[in-house]
Amino acid sequence: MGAVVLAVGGLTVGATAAAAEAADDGPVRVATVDEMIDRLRDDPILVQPSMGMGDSALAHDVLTEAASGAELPVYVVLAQMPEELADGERPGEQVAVLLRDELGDGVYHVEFLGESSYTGVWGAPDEYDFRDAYIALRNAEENGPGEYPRASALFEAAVVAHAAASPGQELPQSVVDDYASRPWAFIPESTTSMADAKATRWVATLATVIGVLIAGIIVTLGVVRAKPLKTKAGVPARRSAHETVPEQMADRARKRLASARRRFEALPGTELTADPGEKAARAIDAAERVLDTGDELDAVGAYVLALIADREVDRVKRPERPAFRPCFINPLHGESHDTVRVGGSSIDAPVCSTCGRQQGAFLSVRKGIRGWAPYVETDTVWAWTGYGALVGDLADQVLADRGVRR
Amino acid sequence: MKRLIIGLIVTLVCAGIGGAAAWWVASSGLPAEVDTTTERARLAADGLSESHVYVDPSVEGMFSDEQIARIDEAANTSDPEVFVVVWPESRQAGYGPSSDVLRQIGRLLDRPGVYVQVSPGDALDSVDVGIDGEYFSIYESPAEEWSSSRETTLLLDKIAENDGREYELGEDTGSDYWGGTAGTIGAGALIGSFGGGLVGTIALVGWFIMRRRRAGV
Ligand SMILES: [Zn+2]
Repeated sequence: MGAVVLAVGGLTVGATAAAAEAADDGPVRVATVDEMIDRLRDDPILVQPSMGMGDSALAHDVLTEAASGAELPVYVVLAQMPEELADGERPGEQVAVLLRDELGDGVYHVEFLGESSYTGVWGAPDEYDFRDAYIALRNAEENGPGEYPRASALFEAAVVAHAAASPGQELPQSVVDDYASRPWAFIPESTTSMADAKATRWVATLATVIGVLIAGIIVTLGVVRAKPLKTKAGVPARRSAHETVPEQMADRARKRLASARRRFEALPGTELTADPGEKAARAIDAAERVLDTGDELDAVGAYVLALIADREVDRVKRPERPAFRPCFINPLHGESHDTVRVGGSSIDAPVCSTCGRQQGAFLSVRKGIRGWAPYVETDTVWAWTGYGALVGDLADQVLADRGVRR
Repeated sequence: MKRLIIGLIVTLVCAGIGGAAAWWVASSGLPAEVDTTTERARLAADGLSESHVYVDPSVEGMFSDEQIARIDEAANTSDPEVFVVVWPESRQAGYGPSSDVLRQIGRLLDRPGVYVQVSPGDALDSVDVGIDGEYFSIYESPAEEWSSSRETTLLLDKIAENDGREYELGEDTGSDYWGGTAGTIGAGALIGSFGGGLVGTIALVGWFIMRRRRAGV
């Protein structure tokens, strides 16, 4: 009886010493299958540095934890292949069989460096099935980091050990996800060197700066050169079919009108009754009526009426000056100095000197979504009068028109 | 004239903003400054603190003691110094390509030189650590029949080739990929010129088309 106790005690002490030796000795070194068997008797998990994903002690602990609670012993070998097996086929399976002969029933997962893994189960019912474990592993690989994520042998072994510890149960996704998030789960891909990455940063920055500079200079020079849109003869290179009312036309008209009114009010009282003075008053009156209607053509009208009023004020002192008549094509071109037979009509219309050389585009307003209508085709007092180009009494016609409409 | 000046100023500002943005984006793609060392690197660095050749226990006996002694001697006297690690190559040891673990070893050892990996059955691999020198590659495709004597001869040849190579102490900061500083500037200028020329031309053509449309022609 005492001898047995002594023997058991001696065995325990021996095992503890071996374990302590294994821990102190640093990484596990096994060169033969026999040495491997001796190791596995003390500790069923064997991981060598070349298979340990940077830390074989950590790998050992991960696998021990994964296999904990198993009913059958779970043996895991991640190691270099013992030399004696170098010529054999499927060394993982060979070794698993040899280990089982010595160590008895259990789950054996063996992967040698550069070889494929083998998992064998002895002495257990059929419910040991690692298909789910491998499906989970493949899924984790598909969602892994980098371009071609490949699970490490350690990741695979951990999943298998976990499945072996709880046979017949579903492998919790959280466990696989947890493993997958560890630095040892995937084979590191070749990293770009720091020097290359820094140089790439310079290339990207330089290329962007130079690219933007060149693109900007091309666009700027192109736009600046294109600005005149005229040939050497001074003729518009490409005449557009319409000219639009400039923005803030009403403001321009208002300023013009204000200055005309100031000059008009500065006239001596006797001259207000003279013909030009009366005309100026009516033009100012008419301009005020159309100034704030919000209509583009009306704003132009107010502007032209202000110019007419201004000229009439001049004519009080210098009656020899002609009344103001704008360019029929576009009153904003200024005063007419020429006449031209406008296409499709029988009358000679007064136009500015530019339009006299070559007829420009009519002042136009938007009509519909993409269409433009020349002002002469609109149903307005401006169309009938040509903004005073065709008549001498624009102010009277405007006053009459607006009087009727109200 | 005014448009020209405005255009050029806008261009300059955009180039500055674009450059800063590119720098920022490219910075996020920089690899993390790896200072992790793997177990294998620590083991090798320990072994190399006393000798110029480290032989992993798993491949002990691969080379004879006499062969190891010759390699050690040659590696020690070579300038720049050579450090040789003999072990089976592994992708399961926590580092990427073998150059990564060789750099880790060099960093741990803190001795500038050429770090060489010898793996029975695999090609020799080397990396300069802490030196910026003339190009040197130890790569040689593995022989059909691996033998320690052939490997020793090859290694000694390569060490002799390395000996007397011009180098300066300090990490090589030039990029092999882009071809050094000149290559980097050249690549940036070339890509920028082509890209900018293309984008500028397209934008200008677009502007002309827009202008015509707006003019209603
Ligand atoms: Zn005109």
